[in-house]
Amino acid sequence: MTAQESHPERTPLPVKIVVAGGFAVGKSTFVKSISEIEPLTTEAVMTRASEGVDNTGVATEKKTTTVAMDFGRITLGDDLILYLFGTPGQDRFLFMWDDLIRGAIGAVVLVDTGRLSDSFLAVDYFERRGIPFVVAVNCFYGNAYHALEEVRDALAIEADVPIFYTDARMRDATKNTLLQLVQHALTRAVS
Amino acid sequence: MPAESRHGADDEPEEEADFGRRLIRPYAVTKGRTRPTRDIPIETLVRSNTSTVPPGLGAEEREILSLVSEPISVAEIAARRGLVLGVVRVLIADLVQSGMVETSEGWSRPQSSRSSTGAASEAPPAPHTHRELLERVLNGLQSL
Repeated sequence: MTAQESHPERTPLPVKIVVAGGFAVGKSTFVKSISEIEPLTTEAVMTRASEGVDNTGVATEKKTTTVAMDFGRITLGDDLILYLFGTPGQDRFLFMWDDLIRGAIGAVVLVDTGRLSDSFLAVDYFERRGIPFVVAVNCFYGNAYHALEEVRDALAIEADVPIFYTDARMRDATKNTLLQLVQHALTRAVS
Repeated sequence: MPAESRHGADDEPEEEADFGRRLIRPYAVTKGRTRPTRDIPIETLVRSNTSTVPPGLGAEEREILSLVSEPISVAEIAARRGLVLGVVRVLIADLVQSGMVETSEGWSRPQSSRSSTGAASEAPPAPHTHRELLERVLNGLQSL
């Protein structure tokens, strides 16, 4: 493995998809169901001046927060490596999303119909930025409590945004979810 | 403290500013530098470009080099080495600068548009290129 003038080694390209949704909706399960590696966690440290409410009055106080993000990997053929990144779940980590979403193919918004409002943040975020996304309604036990069109209405998503059921535990369902997203991104890239 | 930043039902509680287990502050290994000398997206692949490790190279840089004989992402390097993302970005930018590693930012750029400054562009690829890439991803997923 010596350094050579030209590189016969693999030079794959990384691509990424972001998996968003409310707390405990199944993002980690989704990533794990299809990742070729045991999902890993990477941490980012954020230091910023603390704002308002819990500030004891010391204006220069800094707050340091560790944000953890789970991710998995899927090798596609010889020359592509797809990474799936789960977003940190809370509003206060939204600023991390900009870093995560940059250059991404698009996003999967996982939805738990029992807690639809948990998905508002993600839907709003991707809509505002014009990032292709699909809404995957996670049915852990094969139970859909809401019809898909009801969910579409409740989330107020556009008619062209794909919405469908998935099961985050099942590799095939996850694969299908990713396919739908890429297909949707492709449609958007054409028009 | 809710455990929400580590999403998933079976996740451990989040740690906030728990530097105790690392013994040193995360950015100590970068001598306090928090900004890498180039833009390095989280999924950027890194591969070793050298078979020799110069004496005097820091322990963390050595550890990174030992991981990248095959291309792996910045996120994986951070996770496997237990370093925070920002630190790994700074260290990798240094290693790129000294020519010891190469990244997918470099090898994915068309030859004609490789800039001599090395400043990685944040701009998305040209539409037709992006489309082509999406088609390759689609094909790849289909054959899983």
